[in-house]
Amino acid sequence: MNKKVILLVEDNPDHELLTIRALRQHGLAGDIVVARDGVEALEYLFGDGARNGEAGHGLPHVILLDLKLPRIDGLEVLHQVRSHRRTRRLPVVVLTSSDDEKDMADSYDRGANSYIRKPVDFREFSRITRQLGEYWLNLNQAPPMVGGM
Amino acid sequence: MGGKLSSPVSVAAMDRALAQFLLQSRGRTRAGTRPMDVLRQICQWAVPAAADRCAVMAGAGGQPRAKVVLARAHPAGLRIAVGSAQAAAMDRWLLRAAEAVIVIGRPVLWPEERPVARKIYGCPARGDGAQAPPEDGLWPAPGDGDPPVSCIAVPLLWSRRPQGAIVLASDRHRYGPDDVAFLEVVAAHAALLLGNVRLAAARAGRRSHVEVAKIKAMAAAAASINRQLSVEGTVRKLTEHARAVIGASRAAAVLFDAGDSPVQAVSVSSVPEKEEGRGSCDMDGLEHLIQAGVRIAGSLSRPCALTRREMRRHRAWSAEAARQPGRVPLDGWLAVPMMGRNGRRLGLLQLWGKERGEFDGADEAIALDLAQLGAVAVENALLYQQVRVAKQRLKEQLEFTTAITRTIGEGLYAVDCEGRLTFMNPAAERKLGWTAADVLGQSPHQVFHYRRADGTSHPVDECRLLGVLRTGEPYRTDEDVYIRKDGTVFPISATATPIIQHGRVTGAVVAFRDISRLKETQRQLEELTASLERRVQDRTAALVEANQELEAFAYSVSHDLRAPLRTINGFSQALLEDYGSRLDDTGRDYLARVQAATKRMSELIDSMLYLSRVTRVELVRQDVNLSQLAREIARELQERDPRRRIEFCIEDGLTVRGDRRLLRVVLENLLENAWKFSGTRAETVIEFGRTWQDERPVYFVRDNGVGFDMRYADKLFGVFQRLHGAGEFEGNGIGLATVQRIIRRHGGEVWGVGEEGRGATFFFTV
Repeated sequence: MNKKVILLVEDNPDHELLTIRALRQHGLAGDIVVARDGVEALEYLFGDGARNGEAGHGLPHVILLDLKLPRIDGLEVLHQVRSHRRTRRLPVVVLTSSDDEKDMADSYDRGANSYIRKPVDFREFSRITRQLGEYWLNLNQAPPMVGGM
Repeated sequence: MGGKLSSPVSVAAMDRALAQFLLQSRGRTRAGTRPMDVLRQICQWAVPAAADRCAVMAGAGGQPRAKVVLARAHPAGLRIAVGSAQAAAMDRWLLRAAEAVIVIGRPVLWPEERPVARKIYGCPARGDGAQAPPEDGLWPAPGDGDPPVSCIAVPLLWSRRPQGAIVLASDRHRYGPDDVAFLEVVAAHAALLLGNVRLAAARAGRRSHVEVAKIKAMAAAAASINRQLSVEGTVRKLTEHARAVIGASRAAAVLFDAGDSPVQAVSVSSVPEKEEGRGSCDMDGLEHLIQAGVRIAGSLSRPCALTRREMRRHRAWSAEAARQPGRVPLDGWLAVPMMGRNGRRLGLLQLWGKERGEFDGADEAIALDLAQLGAVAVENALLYQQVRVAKQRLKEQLEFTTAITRTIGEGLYAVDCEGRLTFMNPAAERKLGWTAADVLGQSPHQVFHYRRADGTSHPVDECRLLGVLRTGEPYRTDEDVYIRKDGTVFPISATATPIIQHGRVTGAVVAFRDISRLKETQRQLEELTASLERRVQDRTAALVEANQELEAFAYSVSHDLRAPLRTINGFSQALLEDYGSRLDDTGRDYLARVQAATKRMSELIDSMLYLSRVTRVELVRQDVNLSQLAREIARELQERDPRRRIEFCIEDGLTVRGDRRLLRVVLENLLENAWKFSGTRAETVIEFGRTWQDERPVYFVRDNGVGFDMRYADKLFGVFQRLHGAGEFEGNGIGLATVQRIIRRHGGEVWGVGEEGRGATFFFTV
């Protein structure tokens, strides 16, 4: 329970690898759980494992959420997270390659805490990732758990 | 004077009384009639019809007062006094008045006139003595019995000498000048009558041939004059007969208009050499004579006769003769006014040159009679003429109206107050298939208006076209239909207008047009509009779909095309970091190039997306102050590189209507280009202003930078087109393409003018 968990929702394995590489490069203490689409993400958050307090896991510290995902997309995941009492205070950072105004507006409307555009340049991306980790895992005070779980 | 008196004296009453008197007296001069009988007749005519009291005095030779009859209205009936003794006892005042007027010798209207004797038309007033009597003291004095309210006294003239008098007196009414004129006519007639009686008595029943011929001629004249229908004919006959009956060498009649000016003159003359037959209408010969007579007669309202001798001594006539030597023969003159019914002087009858002897009282009486007859006939003829003109006008009006209704294209029909057809024009017949003869007298509603446009029956009670008969208000419809004789139906535009006479609706006129074509055109137009709308909707839908596709495409470009780039870039970096030590410089350089290329491509994708967004975004038009925008951008550019020496010259108050955000993009691109391409100058001048071209405002951004070669001007606005090497100036190659798209979306134009090394100017209109 002490380990801080990042839920990374990313369908592109290359990007998953690069994101994890960037996070690790900066030695961020914490587990990285990867969901490859919206269904997996929701399963992780609301599935049996999530509810089973003993054997299962708690909620992640922060979700890094891509928007364009197979099956259930990022906006829907965000919507579900904000709709459920247990998850509604979870910090969600939208991490996407889209700079579409509509995506941005929709994300904030559904309660995203932050919206980060993934740059093509990896060095820049690496820098952004480091800042993200530092901010959300160390600097930011996590919200109190809802319902004592 | 109590009791029942005469009705108010009016011209009409006088006229009636006169007519009655003339009728009674005409032809009454049988043998055995005494002058006294004539006097009594006059009295009986006058009281009570025209007067409350009447005195008639007559005599012969030097005894004009020999006989007198006096009548006075009395509740019990007419009281008549015969003889001067009785008369004096009954009404001394009237007797004195009669005596006075014989001396005065002309009519007196009392109390309007101060009765004094004086000369008229050269005829000296004569008393019964040789000397002219003193002028004052003639008329009854206040002591002479009881005076009436009003009185007319007229002398009876026989051979122009006063041989008696008629006096009418009213105790209630005032007489007027018209009454005087009429009494003069009566007096003239009475004088003639008395003369005839005297003549008859003198000749003991043996009437002279001349008298008989004159009476016959008068009868013939009356018949002939009355037969005339035209004014001209009447006047001509009057003139001819007057000349012939009286036996004058020349005669003329002149008609006056209301202003007393001569309007029509007819003259006849017999040739002095006594050629038998009527004289020709010789106006030239007589005109000056007629005019002289009219001038001399003036407003003559009673006859005037002059003998040859009197005429020569007459001042006015002798003056005329002197003025026109040889043209005015002074051979006697008789002038008689023609009096109209309302007392107006209609004209003047003149005669000259009595063929035997001189003009005398008898001639005067005859002339007066004829003139009176002529006056009535002229008035009748005038009336007839007016009626004829009115009828002719009416006929012309009717022909005109008929011509219009026959030729106009609109259908016209009329109904009476019962709603029955009274008229139908040919156009209506053509349109309806009915002939007027078929349907006149029937209800138009039942014949061709019995159904509504939707085919349901149309009760006559609900017919609003016939309804105008009730409402009295015009009604117009474009929604009704008429049914032809063959049962086919056509839409009409109709207007019903009520005919209102004396405040009552007496019928209505309906004008209608067949509007089948109009309706058909309307229907086609509606169809066309509907199909156009459908097409617009289809196109819009297609456009929306295309737009959505484009949007989806753009989204996919931004997301999916960039993903592999990130992978390439990321793993190149990972390679460099993890295995860089195993690569030589060349290897590492290759990897750096791979990374640079991915970045470059990412930028291109961004630019394309941007361009497509500019094209798609909706315009929000408002007033945009370009000067202010330019100043903001200039400040930003200045801040980007504070060390650069740049002078911005921005014209004030340049405002256009357009999308604020997009116009900012335009100015940003143009100003940034100017800023960028003048970077090599030690001192930069960037100008924003307005000029005019074909009366349209043209805005421009000018710099003193490197400029460009006009040969490549057409490539300026192409996407990813660059006129300078990538290494020379930064830029993605879509700035001007974006500018062009925005300007075009505003309906404007943009173009560039430049010279290598000497700066560039970009113009645009909005």
